[in-house]
Amino acid sequence: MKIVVLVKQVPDLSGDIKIDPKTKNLDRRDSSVVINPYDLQALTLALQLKQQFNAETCAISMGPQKAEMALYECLAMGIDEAVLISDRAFVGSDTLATTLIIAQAIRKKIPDVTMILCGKHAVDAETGIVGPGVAERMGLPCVSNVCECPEIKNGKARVRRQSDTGYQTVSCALPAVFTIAETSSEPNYIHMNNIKKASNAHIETMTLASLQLERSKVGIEGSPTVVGSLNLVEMNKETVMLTGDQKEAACRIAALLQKTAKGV
Amino acid sequence: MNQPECIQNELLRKTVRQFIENEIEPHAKEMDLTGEFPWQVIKKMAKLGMFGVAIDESWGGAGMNADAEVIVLEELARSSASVALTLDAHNLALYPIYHHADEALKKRVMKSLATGEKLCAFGLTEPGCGSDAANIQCTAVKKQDHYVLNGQKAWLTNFSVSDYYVIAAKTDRSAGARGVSLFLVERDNPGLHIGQEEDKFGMRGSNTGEITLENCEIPLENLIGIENKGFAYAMETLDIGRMAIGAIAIGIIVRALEEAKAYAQQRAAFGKPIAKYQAVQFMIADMEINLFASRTMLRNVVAKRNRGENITQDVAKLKVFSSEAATKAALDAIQIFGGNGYSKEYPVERLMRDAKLLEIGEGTTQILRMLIGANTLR
Repeated sequence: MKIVVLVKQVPDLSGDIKIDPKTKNLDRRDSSVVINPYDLQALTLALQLKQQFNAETCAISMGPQKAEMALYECLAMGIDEAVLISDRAFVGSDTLATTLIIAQAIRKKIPDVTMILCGKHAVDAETGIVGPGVAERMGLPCVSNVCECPEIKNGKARVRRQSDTGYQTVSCALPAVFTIAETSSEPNYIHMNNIKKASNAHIETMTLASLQLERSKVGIEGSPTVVGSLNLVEMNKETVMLTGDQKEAACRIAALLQKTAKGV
Repeated sequence: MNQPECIQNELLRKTVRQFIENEIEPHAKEMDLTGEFPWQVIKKMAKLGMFGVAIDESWGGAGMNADAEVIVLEELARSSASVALTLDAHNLALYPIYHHADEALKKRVMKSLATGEKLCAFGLTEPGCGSDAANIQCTAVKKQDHYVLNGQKAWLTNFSVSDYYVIAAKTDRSAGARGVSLFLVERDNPGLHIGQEEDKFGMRGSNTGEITLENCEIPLENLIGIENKGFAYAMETLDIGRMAIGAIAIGIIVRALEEAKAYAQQRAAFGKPIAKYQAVQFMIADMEINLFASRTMLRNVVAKRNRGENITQDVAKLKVFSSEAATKAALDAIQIFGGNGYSKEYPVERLMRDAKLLEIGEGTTQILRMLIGANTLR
């Protein structure tokens, strides 16, 4: 069994976030970065499956050279191999171009892949398109919002996914793409004894040339998406302190809710 | 530093910080208030391999170097200097075993210590002797197939939570510093008595107290290294301890600076944030300067240590400078917080109480200034 995990390095949202006024995209130059939290869940699931099925695991990330750090982190967690997709020609790629590049990288690196796992979306742009997009490009089925994979048997995986109303159990033919939502796993800390080995590991870099892609299909040229405008969500909160006993307070809450509902 | 080492250090810092934010920071205040030893935290640290980062892989460690050791301590101290001190004390006792014990003794204890499965304590200080380490009164008398240890050890960190004790004792009372040896004493030895815990001003989550050795019989093979070489081993160990104190001091300065900066930017007086006033800016600037200087000194000491050079003089300078800088940073942070800084509700008063220990433990500021001065005037 061969598992690919797609990993994106995103700005640490606990710090200050800046928006580039020109591109209206996140300004990533000075921000500290972390692995997209949902991709961490995907990594955790991949490592569980590795242990369970003796699977081979490979993490793939597309980004600038500094995204290598996220891949070293994956290796220290226990992922077997890591690939960085990086080329100046890829700068400015939207999700359409990104899925083309990543799908090509998977085809080249692991043509007999069994499972492709990624976070349900990245917390920076929140599009949630890359997972399903890669599936579409590769002609594979895709199950979104997966939180568990209790069974893999006879070329099929049974997965539990979150839906708007609860949970669904889905059976899916492999190979397939699964986008991962919150799992019930404990935080997966890196063991100190894995750090030295991971830091000395080789990370393969894939470029426009090695992927044999047309320049016009990637980067800004291959990306039709344009961010038209960006508006800050205004949060206006008004606090009303209620006094009186429970009954009085309940009546006043009901009145306030009615008033608010009418306003809406 | 080569590229893998840079990656290693960045990865290590990130990992340790993430662990601390989730597992230590939520308990740091409580540890200080109750004075209870944080067993849960220590067990989780052991599970993560934090007790043997600079120990060779063959003994169960992570096989990294002194950089790794100071990164872990600095990050721990940024959240809880008490936890950092617990690890420092463990490392102190581990050092002479790792570097000087014979293979048989190492085989017996190294793995359990490097993995944090068992804790250890280093016993040099005595009730009547601290800085004057060559004047210890604890004795070890050699009999046919064992040594008999008698004496008292004070201010042992990890005194009642350890499984092993590295004890300095006189094997030749007439030979001064050249008559000291180091021994490994097991906790279940009937001659080892655990005393009272100190009710400390700071570092309250660390475990400090006294032990007594009363006709404590230990096998000959528990001698660490060569007989009467113990003082030299202890001094080497203290160099490592002083490097650790530098790292803990830096962790405290970093936290004081972070807290003071955030508070100064949001607290307003006379219509503007207090960060806009020069008086506050000067205190913040001093913290930055001292942090930069302490970091530079530590980096220098660590690089020398990694090259196997003698660090005694430089590490003494680091320890004096960074420990005083940590106390000053914490005091200035309290000043910036005003009345709130004097309250236990905010974390800066804890930083000050914790920092003060760094000027006393593992060689007081005064004894180290004497050492540096004497060397300069030689």
